[in-house]
Amino acid sequence: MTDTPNLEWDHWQLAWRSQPPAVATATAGTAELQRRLRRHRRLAWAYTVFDVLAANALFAIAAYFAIRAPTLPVLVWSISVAVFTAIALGGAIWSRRDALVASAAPATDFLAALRLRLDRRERVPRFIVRLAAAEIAFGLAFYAIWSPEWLGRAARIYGAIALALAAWWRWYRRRLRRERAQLDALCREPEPAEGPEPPGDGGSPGA
Amino acid sequence: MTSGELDELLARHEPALRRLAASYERDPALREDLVQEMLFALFRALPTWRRECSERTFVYRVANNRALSHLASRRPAFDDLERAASVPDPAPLPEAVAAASQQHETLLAALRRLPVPQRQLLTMALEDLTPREIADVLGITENNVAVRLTRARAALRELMAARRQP
Repeated sequence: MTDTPNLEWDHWQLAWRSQPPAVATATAGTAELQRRLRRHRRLAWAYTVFDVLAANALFAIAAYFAIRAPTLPVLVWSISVAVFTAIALGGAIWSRRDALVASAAPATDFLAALRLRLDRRERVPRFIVRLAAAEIAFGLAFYAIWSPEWLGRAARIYGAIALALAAWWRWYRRRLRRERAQLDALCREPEPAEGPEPPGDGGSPGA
Repeated sequence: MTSGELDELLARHEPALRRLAASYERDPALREDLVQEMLFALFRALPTWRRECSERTFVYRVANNRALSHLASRRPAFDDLERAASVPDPAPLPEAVAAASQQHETLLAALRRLPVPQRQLLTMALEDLTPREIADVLGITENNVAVRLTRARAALRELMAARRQP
């Protein structure tokens, strides 16, 4: 015996509601959620404050050396540290924007936003690699002009940094590729079945 | 919205959110995490609700988006019917309850095997959301909802029938 569509739907609905999944833990009340939100915000602020403090420490070191020995090489070095730090700080803060917002957008818009966020995250390693390349190029030029005796050692250190960065980039790109594949799978609509188009009368779901 | 109203709203929608989470996540611990994440997302999003859509639409939007983020951030693991059906029972159940539980698990396992867009449609329809509400949650037209729902039901029917095969 086969079910008629409505009967079949009723069976499914009954089965759907028959057994709500077991509650493993007590549901958080608003007080607990409020506490969690405060923790979440504090953490976001802590990250930002840490970034700003770290950047300020670097600014202070650059300023200290510039004041202590205001020669041309030291001034150039100090300015470069300040500029690269400012760029890195801006990038770090920019990449964490929207972290506090829970989306109430329709699913299609939300998926588009997820895709956009992934595109942005793909730009992050490119930004970091370019920034590091600029720093390395600048550093090597700096040592070649003003401290050639340190050039060999600096080149080895920069080489190690470049290798570590390349390994990280490789890992990060693989991870993003996996996430993109996952996102594509989430968005994929199944192929319509062979045969006539199903009716689209906007009727009740169970009809 | 006062804290009491918030508590009431969360309590009102929690059973549906639990069922929704079950359609996305088979593992009980991860499922519970997902429910808590949904409630937290809802709590964070509620201050932005300007009543431009119904309460149910708003809740399902936030919950579905949270579930999509959950799926996007983990490796794909589409559960098969056999695994889901072989979850051991913690205690012997009366026959009727056991049968209902079996049907529930079978339906859940079949839903989890469907592509996510179809799963979203069916879970909302099973929760008795109107086509208008489903269209608002997904950001598509009502006609589109009806067309996709017909296909989704056919796909679910096929999976359920496959399950019934000896």
